[in-house]
Amino acid sequence: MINVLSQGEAEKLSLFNFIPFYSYSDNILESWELISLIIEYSEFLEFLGVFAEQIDQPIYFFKIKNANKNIGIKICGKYENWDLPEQVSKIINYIDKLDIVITDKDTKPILAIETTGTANVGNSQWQREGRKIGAAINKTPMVYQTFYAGTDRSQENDVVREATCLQVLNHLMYSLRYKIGSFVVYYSDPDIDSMININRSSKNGKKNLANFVSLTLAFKIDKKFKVLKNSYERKLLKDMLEYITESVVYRNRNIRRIDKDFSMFPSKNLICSRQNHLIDEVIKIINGEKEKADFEFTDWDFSQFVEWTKLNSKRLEGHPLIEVLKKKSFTLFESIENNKIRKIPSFFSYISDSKCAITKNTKKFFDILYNLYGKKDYLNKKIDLNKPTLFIPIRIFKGVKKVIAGDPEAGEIVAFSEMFAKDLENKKIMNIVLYCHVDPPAGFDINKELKKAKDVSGSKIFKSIINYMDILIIGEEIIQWQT
Amino acid sequence: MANLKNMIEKQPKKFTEECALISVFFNMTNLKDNWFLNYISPPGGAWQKVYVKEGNNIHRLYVGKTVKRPDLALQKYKEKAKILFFIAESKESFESIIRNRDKIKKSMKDFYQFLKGARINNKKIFEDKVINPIFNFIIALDVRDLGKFEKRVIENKLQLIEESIDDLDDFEGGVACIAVFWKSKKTIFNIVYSSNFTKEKIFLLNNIFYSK
Repeated sequence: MINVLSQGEAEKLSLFNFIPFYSYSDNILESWELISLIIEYSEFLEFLGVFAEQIDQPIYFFKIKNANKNIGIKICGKYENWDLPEQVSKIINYIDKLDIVITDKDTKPILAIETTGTANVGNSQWQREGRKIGAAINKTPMVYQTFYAGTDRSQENDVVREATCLQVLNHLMYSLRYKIGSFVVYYSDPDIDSMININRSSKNGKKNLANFVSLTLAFKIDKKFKVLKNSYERKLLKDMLEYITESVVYRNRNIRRIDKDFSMFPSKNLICSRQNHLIDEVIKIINGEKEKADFEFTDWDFSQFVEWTKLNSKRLEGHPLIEVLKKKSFTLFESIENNKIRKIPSFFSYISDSKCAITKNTKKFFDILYNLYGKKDYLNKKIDLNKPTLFIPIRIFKGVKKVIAGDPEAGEIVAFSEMFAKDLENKKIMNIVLYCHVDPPAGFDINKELKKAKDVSGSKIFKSIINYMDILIIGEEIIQWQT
Repeated sequence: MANLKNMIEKQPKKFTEECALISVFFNMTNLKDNWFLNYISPPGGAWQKVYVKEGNNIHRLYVGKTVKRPDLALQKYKEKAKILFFIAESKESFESIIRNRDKIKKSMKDFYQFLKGARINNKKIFEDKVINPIFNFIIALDVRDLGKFEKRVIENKLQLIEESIDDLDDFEGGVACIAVFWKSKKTIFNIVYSSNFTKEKIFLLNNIFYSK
């Protein structure tokens, strides 16, 4: 049982040098779990007690260690049951709702947190990107808590899989592009880790998360915590980079995880051999001490990418655009030094069966789209022929009743678009074509859904679509839409 | 004082089923007692996970989609060899409990049996223990802004529960209905017990929900 404060005791604690915070969350338990974590693990906040006369909206009191200040955190879950501050509403309604947004007394968001009880593997690995990007776009630091490994529910027999590097790389992109901290904190699960012969007992994700949240709140009140907060930002980034550079067994060889998952990632040398410099740059940028990194993550060398074979998969078979793309070759031949010619496949990606692909031959792709769907003027307006094109086949409608379903595509559109189609200055470097290869139900009004996507009531898949698409094809028709 | 007052003044739009469920949960696990959480909905993590405590060991059980789960399950060791499971379903109204009574009863009873018979490495975890259930309904009474009608509304709601609870009781050890509401910015509990509910369990719950 924890220390319960009377009203008199709570009033006394909140009289002087007291700063209130509010934890808005998707449900009450999300906030409660976070605060329980802080109580158990924080080295910077000392728990004083809880005032809970209204038990479902308790106020937790803490003393900031080494500072003559107390804070109170009131749990305000769930979102729909509160008049949300405008900034909180913007974050959670951008594409998808994340778990927790902590604000100060002036309703300014201080930190956004997304938590999960599983690892992001299999079909769900990018499912939550729509939640994360809402925080980044709205300039709120964000922490995503997940697990290193978990069982893939799309597979039989509880196959254990580990999160790919792309998760960490996406977070680095968000931090550098939007100039705001975006972190992953991994928890280890000894039962799961033992099944894949990994020992992560030295890692303490729970303590790191508790301390980072504590320091973020402390820094808000007293800038003397800057050095400590930066040290924890460094710690989180170091853990993220350690994960993607750790050794894994692949095809009977030991290689680095990033070499297995994304061997052609630009600035890989920086990630593998100059981590401290990378971390220094990220810390400076997210703390407003530097405008631009001295490296670029998105100067893609397409000759390193592999041919995209998913075009020939059973799932995409038979769909008109896919069948045309399979028949037409728009392989490019480029001259490179020493009079050599380099062959770039029609479509390529970071892995052969990825859910997205890139073509450098946008001109040919444009011609195919025009021949199939017309709307040349619209295509001309939306497609930049000088840029490569990111192609993402998606489903929007699922099941026999063809209901609109956002997962995992809403997150995947965000993940791939943010990874490939923008540079670190947030400028578009690729066109984005989304192809819905499942026909809509009869009477489906696409324009109504796209209009609704600008509101709170819109579905996450259409919010994702309007924020990223250049071209959207549904029901074998190019949808003309003004963003 | 203004700081705390401002924090308290910030209120949600209404008193919901979730408010009621969480109030019971927090009270039993944090504020007035230290029951162990087996399961709660909405779950913070993967929805399939259920935990049971055996001595100092915590076992994680996988339930799967076919086992229907009620909203809350808590566990307490009464003595070394005696375990209580508090099983509860929460709804926004008592009428909703009545409307869904068969489904609710089944989920509560099935889940209790699941916990009671939980196995690790093919061995029953609680083989040598005496296990007793405490079955409950939790209902949210939203009586905000009723002014002079508040008392009448609460009394009418409780009367309905008192008149109906025995008709809903075919549970081992009886069933209780915990009505939760706010009054003057405080959470209030009011428990109605079925005739079959044992005195020992009444004493236990009264201590948790009525003590200052």
